[in-house]
Amino acid sequence: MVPSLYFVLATCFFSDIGPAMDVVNARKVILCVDDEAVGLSVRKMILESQGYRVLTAESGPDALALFSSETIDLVVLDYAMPGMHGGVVAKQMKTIKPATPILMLSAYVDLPGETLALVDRSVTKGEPPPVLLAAIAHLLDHRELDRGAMPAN
Amino acid sequence: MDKITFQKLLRRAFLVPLVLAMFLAVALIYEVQFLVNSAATVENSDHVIQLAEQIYRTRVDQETGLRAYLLTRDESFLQPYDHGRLEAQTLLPQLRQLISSSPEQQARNTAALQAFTDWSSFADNAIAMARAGQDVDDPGFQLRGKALMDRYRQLRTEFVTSEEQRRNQDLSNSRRTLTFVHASVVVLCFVIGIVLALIERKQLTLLSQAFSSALDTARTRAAEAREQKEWFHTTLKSIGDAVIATNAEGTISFMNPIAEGLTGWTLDEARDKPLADVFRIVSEQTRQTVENPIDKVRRLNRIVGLANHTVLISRNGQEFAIDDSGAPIRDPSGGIAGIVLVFRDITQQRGLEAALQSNERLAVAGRLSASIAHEIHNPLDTVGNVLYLMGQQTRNQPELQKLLETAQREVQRVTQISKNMLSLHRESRTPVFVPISDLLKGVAALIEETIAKGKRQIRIEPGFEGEIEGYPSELRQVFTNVIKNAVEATTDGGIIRISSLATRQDGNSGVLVRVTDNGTGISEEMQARLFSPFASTKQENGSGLGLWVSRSILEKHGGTIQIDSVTDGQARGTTVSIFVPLKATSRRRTENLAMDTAQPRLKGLAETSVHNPSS
Repeated sequence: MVPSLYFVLATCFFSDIGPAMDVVNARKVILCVDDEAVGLSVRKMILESQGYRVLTAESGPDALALFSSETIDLVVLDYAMPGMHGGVVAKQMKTIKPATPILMLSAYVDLPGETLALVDRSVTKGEPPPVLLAAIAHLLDHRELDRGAMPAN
Repeated sequence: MDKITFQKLLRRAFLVPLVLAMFLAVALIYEVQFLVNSAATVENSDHVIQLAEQIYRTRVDQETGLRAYLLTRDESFLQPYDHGRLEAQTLLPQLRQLISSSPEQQARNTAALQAFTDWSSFADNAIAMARAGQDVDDPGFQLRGKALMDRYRQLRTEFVTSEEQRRNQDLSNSRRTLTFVHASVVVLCFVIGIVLALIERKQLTLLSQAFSSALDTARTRAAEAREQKEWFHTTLKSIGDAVIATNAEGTISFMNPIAEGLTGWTLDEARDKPLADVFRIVSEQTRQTVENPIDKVRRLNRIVGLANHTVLISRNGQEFAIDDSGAPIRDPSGGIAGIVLVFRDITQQRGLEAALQSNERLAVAGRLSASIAHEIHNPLDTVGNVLYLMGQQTRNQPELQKLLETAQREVQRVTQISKNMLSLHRESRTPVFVPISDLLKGVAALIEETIAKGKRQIRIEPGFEGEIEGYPSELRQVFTNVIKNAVEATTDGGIIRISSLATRQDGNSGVLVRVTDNGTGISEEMQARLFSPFASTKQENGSGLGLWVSRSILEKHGGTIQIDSVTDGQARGTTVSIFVPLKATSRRRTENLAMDTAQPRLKGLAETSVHNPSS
């Protein structure tokens, strides 16, 4: 049910924009943060297969460094990491660049409300990949719309 | 009125009459002395007069002898004449001696002597003339002799008269003195009496005031003491703990109502009974009678606590787990006048502790479950992602192969985690043989997997390879707590070393496991509280019950746990030393007993204690 929904969405997206789509997606940079190296590399492959440029970081401080120096369109952030957990990382990111959407991707089912209020979207690990991809696309899309709307204002 | 003032008053009341009496005595002695002196003077005068009379008589004899000689010319009449002269010569110096103190009498005496000397020379001349045969009967010659003698008589009478006058004078003097003495004694006595009466009245008034005020104070004190005794009695009666007091011999003198309730004896029944009859205590573990606290206090001469796990058996056979202490009651000289026992029923508390411990076991399991679920979600996510990638048509064979391997590895990880988790929660009711080294490896692997994640090194050094008899799930809980603490105390790159060796402690063979980390260490302040419930260094992440439960588990095994920590310098870090005896010493039998009695009381808590191995 969910994958098919994704395919419908994706197909619409692809067909509407046509050749420009690859160019648009190629410009989108996603920062993936997770202390699980294997999971991180597999996730990178999936996102790259969708045409995104992917930067990875295995810890909070590394992620913050990249986040400050690079142009990032979206952050996929793990919660449970040793040292600095996702909640802290998200809070600092929102201070540095409040407009950049953050997607919290965690194996925990009960994240602190404080963190949930801070991030733009939360997805539980173990869900099928299309759910994550749809959420990413949705966040980027909304951002695109906001941007498009701004000159009109 | 204090004691010193009181004594001062008392002393003054005695001293004043004493001083006055002494004054009176001195005055009397002086007057008597004066009287005696007067009497001596009168006596002296009497003596003088007597001597003067004696001398006069010899002189009259001389004159008479001379007259008779001149008439008769008989030489024998001259004998008194010569004798008188000789006698006068011996008496005269005595007289002079007696009147030496009076110049007037000396002058009179000298004049009389001179007159007699004149007569003597006339007499000698007359005797010489008579012997020569000359006429001495001439009246003119006779009259001259008589005139000389008369002159002597007159002078001598003057002397005696004046001496008599002196004597009378002295006599009347001494009579006056005597009267004065009489009068003065009466007057002095009277005066002293009055003075004494006045002073003593004042002193005695003060004294009686002091005495009555002292009496009042004593009465107040006595009332206060009575009140205080009443107060202590009421306090002891209303105190929440049971109190029994005994005298030095160990027989009961007081029990409060709580003590009556717990022992099943009333104070009236128990009074004067030996403590051991009323306060029957046995060890919870061995059922042996525990040393009578009276003997223990007497032996150690200080406040003592009861041995752990003491059970009080009441008169009707009911048992209470009690916690108590005994203290000597000291008399003012420091000897033991009695012993006071304070104890309380901790059966309920024991139940609560057991419930709290099983709750902690649940909480530990809960926290581990959450972390295990998290750990399983991670590889599952990867496997899902890999499958998704493999589903894409564009992959070539080597790529697919690689993805497949990744998926297999992740699935294996899930299996491993699940296996470790199962072994963690397997419960056992009876002690079994536990290979310590395997148990440590299993715990370490699980923690490595879930918390350390390759960021910390957990090194198990080869050591004790035997088995111990115990409860594996509980021991696993202990080591999980301790190793997890060590991991959480270290930062990335931290090293946790686990060593084990066979050793002996308190005469028991066993294994000593040391878990050493190079983490932040534990402050001294915290170290003191480590084994109390709800002490945690990990604010929201810990329940604060881990070490408390660990210790109780180890105590159940007859083991010990000790923590040494350094917070700075080269040796920074913490070492936890755990000793477990080879045979869980213990208490299976009593544990079962305790379980049976604890069961009904724990009913209310039963819902939360499903996993309590002792229920």
